[in-house]
Amino acid sequence: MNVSGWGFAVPELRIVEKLPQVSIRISNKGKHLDLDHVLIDTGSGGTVFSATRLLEIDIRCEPSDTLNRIRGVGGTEFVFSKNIENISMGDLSLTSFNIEVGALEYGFRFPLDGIVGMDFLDKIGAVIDLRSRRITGALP
Amino acid sequence: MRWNEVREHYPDQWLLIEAIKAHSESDQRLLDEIAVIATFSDSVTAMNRYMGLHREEPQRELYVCHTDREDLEIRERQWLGIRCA
Repeated sequence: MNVSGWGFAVPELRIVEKLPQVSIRISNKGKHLDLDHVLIDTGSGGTVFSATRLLEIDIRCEPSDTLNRIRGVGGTEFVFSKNIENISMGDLSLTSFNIEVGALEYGFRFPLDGIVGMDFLDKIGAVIDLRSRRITGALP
Repeated sequence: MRWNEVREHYPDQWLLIEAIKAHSESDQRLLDEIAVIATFSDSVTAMNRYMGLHREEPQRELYVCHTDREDLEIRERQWLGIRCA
């Protein structure tokens, strides 16, 4: 796994309905997908994206994909796992990263394309600056 | 049905299944009794059916899977959950 800067802008943080959102780009097999409504969640161990959105770049469940059950306060749900070539948040980028893919319907008033959890945030060494609404990476 | 019986009855297909009886053991979800809800030729249709049913009846324990796999091997992960203002 590599962490690299792509020369993009420093990721901006938006507060929507009091929750922090960012934009994420997923790249896989020569295709890119920009997701503008991704929640930052330090209370989630994993990173999960909408199956409907990921289908736009032909990411779908395949027979050998790992199956998962996520158990939370709001109940349980099924997701499958995928290893994607690249995931980036502004200039912070990871290659060969494991994500989960699911329904992602929690009945919010705002659109939700994904949830970035601690696995991603820890790997990029995220510094979440709520005052300046920016996320920077603090990698060694 | 158990998973090996499901595989015999529905070879080489995508399924939407429901766990009728299940238990958790060291981060694994083990299904003791499985009901097959529907069969599909592709995973996208199966996933769409899952999403519709999960929306209507979120308490049901549903999975999309293909019968090519010998073991289900479902991993379990805890999540605090989102609470909107």
